[in-house]
Amino acid sequence: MKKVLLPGILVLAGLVVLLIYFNPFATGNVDVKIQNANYIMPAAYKVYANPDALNGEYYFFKALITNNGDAPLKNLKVSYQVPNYLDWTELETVPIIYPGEHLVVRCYPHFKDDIVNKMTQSQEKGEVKIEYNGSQEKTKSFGFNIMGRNQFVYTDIPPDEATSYPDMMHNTQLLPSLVTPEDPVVKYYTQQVQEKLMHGEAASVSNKNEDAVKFLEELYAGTYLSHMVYSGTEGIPQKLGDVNSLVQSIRLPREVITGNTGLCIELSLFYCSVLKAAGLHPIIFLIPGHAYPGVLVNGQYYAIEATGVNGEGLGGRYRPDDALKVGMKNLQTFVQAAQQGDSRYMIIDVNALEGKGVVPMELRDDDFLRKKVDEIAVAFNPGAAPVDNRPAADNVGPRAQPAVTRARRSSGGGGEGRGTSGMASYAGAITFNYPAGWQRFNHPIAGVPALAALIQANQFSSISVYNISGTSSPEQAVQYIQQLLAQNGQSMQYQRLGDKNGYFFYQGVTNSSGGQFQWQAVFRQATGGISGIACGSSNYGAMANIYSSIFSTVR
Amino acid sequence: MKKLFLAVMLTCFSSLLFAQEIKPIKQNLTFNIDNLGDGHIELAISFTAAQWDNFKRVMGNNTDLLKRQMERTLPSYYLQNFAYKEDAMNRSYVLSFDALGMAKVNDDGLWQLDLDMKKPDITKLSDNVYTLTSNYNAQGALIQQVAKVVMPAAGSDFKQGEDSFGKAIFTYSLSPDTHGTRLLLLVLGVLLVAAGLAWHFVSARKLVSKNTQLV
Repeated sequence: MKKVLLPGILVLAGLVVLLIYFNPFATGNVDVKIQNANYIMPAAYKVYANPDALNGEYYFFKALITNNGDAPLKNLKVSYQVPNYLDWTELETVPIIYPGEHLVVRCYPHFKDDIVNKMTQSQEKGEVKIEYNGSQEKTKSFGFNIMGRNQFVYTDIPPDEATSYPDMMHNTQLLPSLVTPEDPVVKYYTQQVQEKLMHGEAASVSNKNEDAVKFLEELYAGTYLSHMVYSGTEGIPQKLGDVNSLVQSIRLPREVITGNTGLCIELSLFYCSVLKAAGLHPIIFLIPGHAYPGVLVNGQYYAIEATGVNGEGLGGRYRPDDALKVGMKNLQTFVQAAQQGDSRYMIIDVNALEGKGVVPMELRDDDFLRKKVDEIAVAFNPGAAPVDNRPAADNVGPRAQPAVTRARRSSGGGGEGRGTSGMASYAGAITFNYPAGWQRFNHPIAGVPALAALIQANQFSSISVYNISGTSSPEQAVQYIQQLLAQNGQSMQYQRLGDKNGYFFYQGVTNSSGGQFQWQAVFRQATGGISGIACGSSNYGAMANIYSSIFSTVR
Repeated sequence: MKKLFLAVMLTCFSSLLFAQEIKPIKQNLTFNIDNLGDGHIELAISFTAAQWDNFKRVMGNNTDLLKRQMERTLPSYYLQNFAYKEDAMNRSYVLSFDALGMAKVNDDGLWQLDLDMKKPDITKLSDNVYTLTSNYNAQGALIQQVAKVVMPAAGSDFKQGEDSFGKAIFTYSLSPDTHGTRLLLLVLGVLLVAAGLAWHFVSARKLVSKNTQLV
């Protein structure tokens, strides 16, 4: 008996251990955690639908599914719905989830195009369903807001996490969703500007700075002639889930056109829409409390003060050339602040963000709005009476005529010192024009052949011409200059701005015992090396316009 | 995984508009993937004096910004257990965290790890260890990055491939049921049963031979 008992105990113990291993009574247990968006902005519905847009940052929800049980979960299927907006939609299927394993599922919902017709905010519910092992299922739900199509929420960062102004403006990267060049109404308006106001234009084809500036100025002239006015819209702080944010009601570009009025950000979006429809590269410059539009051409920014239309009720308005001057002055301030590292000064590059998936909303054609555009475009004809959307006593239309005449006269020059008269020319490996009164020194430093010339406006501002042989890389050329300066006790810091059509743009700061020197430079490949010019000044802002015009002549 | 590279760059260079350095910044990333597909990630990065100065200016004492940036740049994963160790004397830090659900079982029953990049520069160090080297120019600064991906040693049939979008993936076989403590249970159970049976048969044979002698 004893001889059977002990082996029997061993076998029994082994069977118990195997029973634990195989555990026929084990079950899988699903644990689900949901991280969801606090709100959805209909204007950005295409961003929410795209996992690659802005690095997938704007997901609707993310589910962490964990198997907390002892047995694998088999044939797991995750689906979701948003009642009244989206039916049950399958997100992911996984053949097996082992005990202790995690599965992360993200949701980028495809809302229907008609979500952009939603005018007001509402609280909605999202539901997530997890089915597994054939018949078992678990559901979770969460609340969120769907905003009205005009409502723009400026941040999605909770207040206890926000540390800076850009945190409070985090969603401004979604603004290009509201730039609508493909909107039939915007397209139609753009055509009216091109045909009736500009009598033909080819800024996007010629790729000339002056043509782009002219377009900007004429676009302003159009708003001036049609008596577009500045006006405020609702902007209130709201608590949306964990987020406290300013929620601003932003009129779409088509509403700005047909309503003939807009706030700074609305005018900026309207300008960007028309500029983009015309094939130009639109920019929005955001500064604390204000926004203004501009254009990027050949690596050079231009800006206009779109709110200069102001309105008589607001104490007068800028003529087109003045609006451009004010815009360019604002731009100088912007560049200075940005160079000093003030993160409140932000550039919204519409094309760049579109490349990252921030694409415009879908808008349908509207005959009524087209007729409104027709009415407004009557004002573009110099012989016609300007459109009057206001009481008769307020009509100041006749003032518009001299303004647009003046705009056309000045648009060919495009800024201070840009005229060809009074300009000298430097012709070498690189060619450009500069003010004739400036002093030129060829090869000013013996032993530094790379510095081909120095052209001085005065002791504070100058142009350096470089021919750097033995390299085909602009980056190496700039590094060479950096080393050159370092050998002379000067410290140079720089950043590359970009490149276009074979030209490479840089900007930076050089410090020496004599003080600080801000500069911008352009380089291109030349025979046997790299050539370029660097325009610098201890007061760069004061020289920015002149330098812009010099850069525009570089060949 | 590519997104992690981007995250690292952003972490270092947001607001770094004008502080430029020629000397490349070296970053070392290690991804340890465990038997259940979770990733344990360690990022080691060192700076020059100017870069460190800028990093501290941007981050201040809010090193949790690193966490937020990682979470925003890596939405595919569920990140937790962040730890930050700084060596200010050597101008360097190490950030470690767990990324849950980095690999999952695909329809073929194989574990799949998505690299989220097309045609990466991959070097095989051993069956389950690979390195990815990358050079980036982030706002004028050169970044040299070496990422080491360590897949579970218990896995087998490690293969590089592409998903339906042409992005690089790794696949491997592994059944967590037959590894680790679970494997011990199986082995122990079988051994106990075998030992019991062996004991019984040996005893029985001894009894038979004893009886045979008696006859």
